[in-house]
Amino acid sequence: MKAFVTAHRNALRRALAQLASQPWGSLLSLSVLGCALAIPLALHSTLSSIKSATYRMGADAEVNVFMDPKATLEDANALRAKLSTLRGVTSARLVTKEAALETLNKRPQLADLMGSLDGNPLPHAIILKPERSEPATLERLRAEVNQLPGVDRVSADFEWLRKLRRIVALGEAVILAAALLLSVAVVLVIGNTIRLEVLTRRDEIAVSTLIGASTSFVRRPFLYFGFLAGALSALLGWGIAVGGIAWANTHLSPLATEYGIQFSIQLPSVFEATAYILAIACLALLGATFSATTMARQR
Amino acid sequence: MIRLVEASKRYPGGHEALTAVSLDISAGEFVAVTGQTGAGKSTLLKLIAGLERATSGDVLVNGQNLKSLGPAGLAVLRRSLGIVFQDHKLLFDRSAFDNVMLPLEIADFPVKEAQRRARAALDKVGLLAREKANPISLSGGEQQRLCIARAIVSRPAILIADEPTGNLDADYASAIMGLFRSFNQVGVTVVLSTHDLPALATVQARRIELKDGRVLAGEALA
Ligand SMILES: Nc1ncnc2c1ncn2[C@@H]1O[C@H](COP(=O)(O)OP(=O)(O)OP(=O)(O)O)[C@@H](O)[C@H]1O
Ligand SMILES: [Mg+2]
Repeated sequence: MKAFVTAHRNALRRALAQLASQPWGSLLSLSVLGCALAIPLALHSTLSSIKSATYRMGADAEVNVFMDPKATLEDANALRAKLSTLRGVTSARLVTKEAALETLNKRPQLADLMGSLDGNPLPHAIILKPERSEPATLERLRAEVNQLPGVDRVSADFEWLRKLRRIVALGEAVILAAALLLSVAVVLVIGNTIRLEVLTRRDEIAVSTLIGASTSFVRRPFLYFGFLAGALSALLGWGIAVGGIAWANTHLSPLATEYGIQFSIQLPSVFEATAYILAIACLALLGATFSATTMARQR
Repeated sequence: MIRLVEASKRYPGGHEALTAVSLDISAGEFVAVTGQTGAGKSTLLKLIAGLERATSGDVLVNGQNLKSLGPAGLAVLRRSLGIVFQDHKLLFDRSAFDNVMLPLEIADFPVKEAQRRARAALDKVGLLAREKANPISLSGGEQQRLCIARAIVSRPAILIADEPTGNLDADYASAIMGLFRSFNQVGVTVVLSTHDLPALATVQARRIELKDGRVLAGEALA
């Protein structure tokens, strides 16, 4: 056990020395990888922020039920009571035709138009607050309410929300594809880095083997090197993504405020960042293992 | 400790470098393999160190038949030996000190202990003052001694040295021979090859003479 720990500690030290022996070269190639890795992370954060924003907007969703113009106030009260017991409905509020007219009368732009009307052409309306705001749920609710007697029209126009969610889903698919491609790239790039590293150290490897180094002894520092290089480029990628998001937010937030929305891109959580760095380090380890093993076999 | 039974070696595409060599070396012996260039001295030492495999016959080291060892087993064997290569095989991308550290790193020694031992080995061959030097800046004799320091640093029971007095002048050569003698006196089995008979004459050694890959009859104490 002690020997095992010493062996790994020594290998780690040799890998760190390897990284430190050409700090600028290492930093440069790690930054290139880091830049590429920042892209899906930043896109992912952006998209999940948009996603949660659309849910927040959806939470304010209302379904307007317009009644037959001939319906009486009793009819309206009865319908409101019925609707409020419907599954998926949190609350149902009655807006009488009188109240609606009142509201419209208050608008100065409409004063002329309202004055020319004789009587009240508006129907009673009931405003529903749905429990959930997924487009599919809303659509089902709309259809159900539409069939009730006395109901003239149900307006639940969430087409824009549905479209936005579809775009988000598409974006998620694109990010997944980019992440998969980048995973392959990490394996290949780190694999190639290790291959070059093995080549520059071939004298050391040859001499070590002559004086009794085992294959695993020769391979081990390269595996640590790969893992560390992967973790470092992921760390750089995370830094770049966080910087990019912070910069984008300084421009986005004022814009969103102008439209009366609260919106900013959320930074990746500690858990997300850790998982991201670990996953990339493991991919790099895979590339390093592959490379070091094939190189060892070729000798 | 070391035994060859009818061991032969034919290099791929080459002629037979060793033919049916049988010999016995016991623990604590000082053995010098002599012979003209091309006689098979290096080949014999490589068979013992497990750096080459016998084409036929058996090579036994510490009772282990090398035939039965795979690459991992041979690596373990080589770690237990001290080997001085004819062409040094020093690494020129690091200091003399780090060259001597290499076998200890391979044996996964804790760093502190390894550094202590490396200094002691450099001190034994008189190179402690040059520990930071790059081997390329060392003279031929110093490189040779550095090589010896690397071979003894892990305190092997068997020391194998191929032409350790290679291109050195007489004084230097006998100093190196003396160094091997001193290791032998503390119990290390030494097997070296040389064609430097005058230097060999300065130490007491059992001579095994090779000619065209065969052991000449009538081994004698030189
Ligand atoms: N790797 C090899 N491949 C083919 N032939 C080889 C190889 N190594 C040695 N030989 C041949 O085997 C024979 C013995 O070589 P060896 O190196 O053992 O001789 P030596 O006694 O050590 O010579 P020297 O004194 O020059 O070092 C020589 O004819 C040499 O050409
Ligand atoms: Mg030779």
